[in-house]
Amino acid sequence: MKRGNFKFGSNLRWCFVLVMVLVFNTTQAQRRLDAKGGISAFLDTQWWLGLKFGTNVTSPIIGDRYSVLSPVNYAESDLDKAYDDFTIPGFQAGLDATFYTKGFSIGLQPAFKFVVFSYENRLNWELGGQQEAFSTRYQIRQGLNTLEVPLTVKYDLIKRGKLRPYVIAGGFYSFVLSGRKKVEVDHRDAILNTDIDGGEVTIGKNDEFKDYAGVLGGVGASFDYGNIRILLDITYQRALLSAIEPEALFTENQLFAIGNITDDISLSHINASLGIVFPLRFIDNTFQSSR
Amino acid sequence: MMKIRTHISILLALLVVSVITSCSEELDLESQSFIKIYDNQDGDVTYDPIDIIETTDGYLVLSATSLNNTDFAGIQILSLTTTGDFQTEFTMPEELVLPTGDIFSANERFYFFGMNRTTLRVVLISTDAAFTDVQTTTLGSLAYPLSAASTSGGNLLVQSYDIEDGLTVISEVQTDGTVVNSSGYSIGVGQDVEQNILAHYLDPTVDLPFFCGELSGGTYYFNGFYNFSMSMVFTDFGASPLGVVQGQADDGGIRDAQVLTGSGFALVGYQFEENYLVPSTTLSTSSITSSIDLFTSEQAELRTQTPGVIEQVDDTHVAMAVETESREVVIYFYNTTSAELTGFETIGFLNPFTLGNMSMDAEGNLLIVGTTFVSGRFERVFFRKLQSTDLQGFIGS
Repeated sequence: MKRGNFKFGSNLRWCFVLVMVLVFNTTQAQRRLDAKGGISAFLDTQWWLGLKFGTNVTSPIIGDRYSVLSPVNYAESDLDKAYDDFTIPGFQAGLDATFYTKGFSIGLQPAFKFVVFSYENRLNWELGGQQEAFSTRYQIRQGLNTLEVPLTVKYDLIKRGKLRPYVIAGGFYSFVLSGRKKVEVDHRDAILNTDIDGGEVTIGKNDEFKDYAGVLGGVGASFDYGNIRILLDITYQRALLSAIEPEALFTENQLFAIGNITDDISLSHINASLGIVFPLRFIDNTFQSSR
Repeated sequence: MMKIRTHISILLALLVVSVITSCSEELDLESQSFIKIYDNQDGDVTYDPIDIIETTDGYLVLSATSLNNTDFAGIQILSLTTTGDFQTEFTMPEELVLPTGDIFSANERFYFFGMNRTTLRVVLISTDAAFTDVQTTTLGSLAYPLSAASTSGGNLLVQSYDIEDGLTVISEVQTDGTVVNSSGYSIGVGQDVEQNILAHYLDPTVDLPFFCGELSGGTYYFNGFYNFSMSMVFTDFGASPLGVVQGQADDGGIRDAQVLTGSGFALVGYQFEENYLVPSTTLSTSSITSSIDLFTSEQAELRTQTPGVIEQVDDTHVAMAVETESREVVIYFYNTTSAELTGFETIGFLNPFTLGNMSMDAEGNLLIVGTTFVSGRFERVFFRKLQSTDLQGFIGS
């Protein structure tokens, strides 16, 4: 089936390419400046590169609510989904490339990130005059694989010593690579006083999600050990754009047969990350990062 | 340092500008494909959609529903918004039964047929879109409605059954209820055929493919019982048919036909448990032929006794809606020139779906109604709209 083209991604992707070029330009310019320095310059200006990994939890922020079901004789709000906030852990792993100068660090931390959130909705029917004689609960777990590219600025609250607490602010762009939805169905027959397992189904859901972007902030601390720097931080990310492709919601949806359709949501994440980074220049015996 | 700060400022500004300028698209169901399922909290209620038609501010779905005090189906109409949301429903008095479509519009009113369950006479029913002015006209000479269509002259065709004389009757009716033409043709002597017709009315598992329409130049057709067989009969309201495509009792025949050009048709047919989709063929409208000669390639994926509905998408493409063995509704798109399958759309996945009817609206959107079983248990009407722009993807243009 021919589908409409969504132009959101191309705009933002080009802007990111431009951002990357400027980052590279910034660091190259600084490299030329600092090459005149030596050890003292090193202490003020440095490139750090390493690995960063950790865990995350996600909470959807609900925009417009959608349902395939249209109620004939009950309130539409009865169809609202109940979302769980920051409950199911995901994970992320990637690189940390940071340019440091005089307490400020600007860096990119591209990472593969798996995020997951869950929600449920419940339907009730009356039989023979008995209220809620039969009910069905759909419990949905939605996972997304993303390539996330945060652009962050860190400020060291203490600029000397092995332990340096810092604050972080910045933005991020998440490329949605794939999605997967798992639906568990349970029925309750109150007349027979029986619970019925409605089974579960897992399907790939790629069409209805799109790339999203937002802002982030957080706190952390670095600890210098020999020539390596260990980073531990917690960040909160808030998407400013919906992660939902609206045109895809009502087309080719294998789950609309059970009345399931995703709401218009943007995502927020809380991330806890551990990073190990190395200085890229002037690594020799004259330098100890604790100086 | 100033240069770094300047660059950082530029970077952050660019990111913010990117986010702001990349505004999210809004969901606009008026201009895109969608599906809706109309759920009633009363688990004892069932619906069986007969047809759907576009109104100035939404859609009307003519539906059959079960009644407590008669075996005949009652009449219910759902009113939907332009985005497919339920608006209101109207239930006809229980004296009126057997909703018979298609449903037609003329002068901002909507027409279909039913039956008075006491007198068994055909009733022409019309309503405005808001159900504030519902009118009924009894067609005193006709009984047991079977199918209906509109004519190019603005009249209605109704196929009915004359139980007293054992006739299939085709009539042309004006919107005021005046019968301007009518002819009856024998179903064949004996009780077997009559029992089939009564089962069609009373047994929910029996759904015989009655339909009728206009060919051109004063020639009409109906698919119904003629001379012991479910046959497609061509008539000019004369005493005898002009031509007949004979089926095989009620075991073989045509489920739906769409006039293409002249006597060219697209057909959905059946022969015992087998189903056939014929994108283009020519029928003889002036002789007796057999439907079995039209069927060459069986569609094994279709369920036995599947209903079939055909709509013309454009001059060279038709859409054929049928049900599959896996209880999905599938719409096949065929090029009528090359008989090539150009695309298909499947409706259904976990819960079973059944086909009610399919029609085109004035904007070229394909409207499909049927039922699905919510929670696998409660039969509810579904409405799938395939937007005209999406249809282009199915027909490859």
